[in-house]
Amino acid sequence: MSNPKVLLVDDEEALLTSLQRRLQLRGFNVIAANRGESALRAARRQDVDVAVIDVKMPGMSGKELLLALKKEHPHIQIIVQTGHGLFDPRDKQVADKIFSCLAKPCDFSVLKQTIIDAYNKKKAL
Amino acid sequence: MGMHMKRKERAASVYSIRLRWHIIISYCLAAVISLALIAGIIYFEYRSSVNERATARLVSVVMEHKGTIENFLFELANTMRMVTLLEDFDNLRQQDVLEQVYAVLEKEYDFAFEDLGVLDLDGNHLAYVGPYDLMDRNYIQAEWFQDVLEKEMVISNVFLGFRQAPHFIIAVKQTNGQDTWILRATVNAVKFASLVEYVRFGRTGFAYIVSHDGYYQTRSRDGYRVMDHVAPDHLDLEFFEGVNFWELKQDQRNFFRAKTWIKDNDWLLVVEQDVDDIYGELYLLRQNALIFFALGGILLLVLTLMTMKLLLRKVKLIDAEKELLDEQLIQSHKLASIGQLSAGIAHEINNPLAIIGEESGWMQDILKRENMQGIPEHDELTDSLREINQQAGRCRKITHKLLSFSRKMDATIREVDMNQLMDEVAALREREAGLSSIKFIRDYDQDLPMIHTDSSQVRQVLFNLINNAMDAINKNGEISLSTKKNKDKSITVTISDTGMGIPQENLTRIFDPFFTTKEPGKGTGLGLSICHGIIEKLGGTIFVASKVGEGTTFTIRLPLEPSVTVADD
Repeated sequence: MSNPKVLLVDDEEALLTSLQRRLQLRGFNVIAANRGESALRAARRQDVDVAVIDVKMPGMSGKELLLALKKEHPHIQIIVQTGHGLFDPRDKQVADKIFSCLAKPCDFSVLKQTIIDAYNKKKAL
Repeated sequence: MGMHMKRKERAASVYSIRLRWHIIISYCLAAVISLALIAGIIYFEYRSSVNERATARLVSVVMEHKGTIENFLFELANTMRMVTLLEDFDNLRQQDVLEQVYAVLEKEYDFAFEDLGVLDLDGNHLAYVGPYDLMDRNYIQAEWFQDVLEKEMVISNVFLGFRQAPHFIIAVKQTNGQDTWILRATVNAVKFASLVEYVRFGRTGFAYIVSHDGYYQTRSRDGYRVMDHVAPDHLDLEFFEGVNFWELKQDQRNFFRAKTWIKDNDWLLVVEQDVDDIYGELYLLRQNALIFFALGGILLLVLTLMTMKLLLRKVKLIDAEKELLDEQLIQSHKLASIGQLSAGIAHEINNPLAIIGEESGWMQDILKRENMQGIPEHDELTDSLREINQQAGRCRKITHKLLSFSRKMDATIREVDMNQLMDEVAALREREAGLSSIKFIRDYDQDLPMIHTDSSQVRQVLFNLINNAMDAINKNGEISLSTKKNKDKSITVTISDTGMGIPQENLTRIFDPFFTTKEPGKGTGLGLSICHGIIEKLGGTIFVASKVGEGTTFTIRLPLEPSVTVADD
């Protein structure tokens, strides 16, 4: 299995680093970004397979980010992590652009498996 | 709970005391005022008509007697004049002729004439017939004699004279040729007075005559005899035309008095009647009217009280309904704000919780490295980290439930057969329930219409309620499941258990988030508040009724169609 390149976006730096370390330990190639804008720039520099996006962030929101990412990189797989009830994955604007929507905080093994599933889907395209 | 109690007490006091008195007082005031007005108007109308009638009668009595008395006097005087015209002076001055004339008059006038005499202009008797020996009397000094010389004819006032019996004189002056003479008669005043004194009407009606100079000509009502002088201020002797009448009070006596001048303004005829006598029937009427109005008032009062009782019952009913609505409103508002608050907290906790989880996970990862295997506390650290992970997971579950509680409605509205849905959910627990001797009793409405709602959310609610019912029973009991169609485009689903029941003080908090009676760690206290949230969002209502020791019933009402606000977006 080649290493999936994961873009991790969350405004919570501590969470970002520990998740990054743990995923890297398991062979993922992880790029971390604490803002939507920097995540977008990172995705332009490197080819990202899966983006794990937090919904509520200062500046660009998770929804705006995923729409922008999907527009620039149509094959990128999006996993949304939502910590509150305000994000509706059935929203027609985003429903077909999301691979999965996970409730935050989510179990690490579930997140890992979801990333692998998303990567497999990307490869199958 | 305390707040509810207070509100109830306040509401009760408002309706039962202040409103009650307000209604009683205003009703009674209105009733009494209108009754009193009617009574007053009738009384005074009647009184004035009685008054008018009484005074009219008094006036007519006065007029009638004036006529009678004047006729009587005139007739006597006229008879005397006829005698002087018919008989010659020369005849009349003879004793035997005068005796014959006297005999005729006495007979004709029922002994009204006491005596008869013929006088010359010097006041000496020329002839005399009568019981007294008056032949030698001279009348030149008598007042009436002076008068008759001037006026041709005179009727004197009543006086006692030497006989000490009331009488008056009628004298006529006549001229035949060169002779001028006077015929004089004494009239028994007692006989005359009987004309007046026997005038009686009503109980106290009385008539009397007073001379212009204030002497009683007949007996007065209050004990004065003939020739007594009128007590000062008792009678006004001013001259007037016609008849005067008015009401007055004298010597503690209220009476009406009418008077008129008679006999060429010489005598005053007075008629009196007591006010009590005149108003006698009016007083009786007043008494009857008082009784009548008192009865009417009591009747009105009773009616008012009854009406008020009905009204208050209605008001209380409305109030109770309003209170129930208020409570529901407060409940849902409370739940909504608690939901918002807890969602906010959950969201804030989520990130730290995630970090705790990931950091402990990272530490577990590190402990798995080969160079870590040899450290002495390796196993203890691993256990400790697993525990941290587990507890973080527990927190995570709570926050997820909290978030689902306030999550935006993402219902998928479909046609749902509630009977079938209920059976599906019951089937999940029925086998296990059987092991605890809990029996499921189904009472389904076979004509239950399909409803449009979110089956998965309703399923969650039913599942939750059935679980609660089983927990409440523990062992040996029944759970009744029923469905029923309502008249108002809705259905009712009830889930009853024969469990321990819920104490009153917990009943009002049962839908509050985190309210639980379970041991710590066994329940989050979110289940029922989530049920409440779901049913409200689906446009329905959920109620609980419970009695300790008998069981609990949850009643869910769901509309056939969800309301517009929860329509799927």
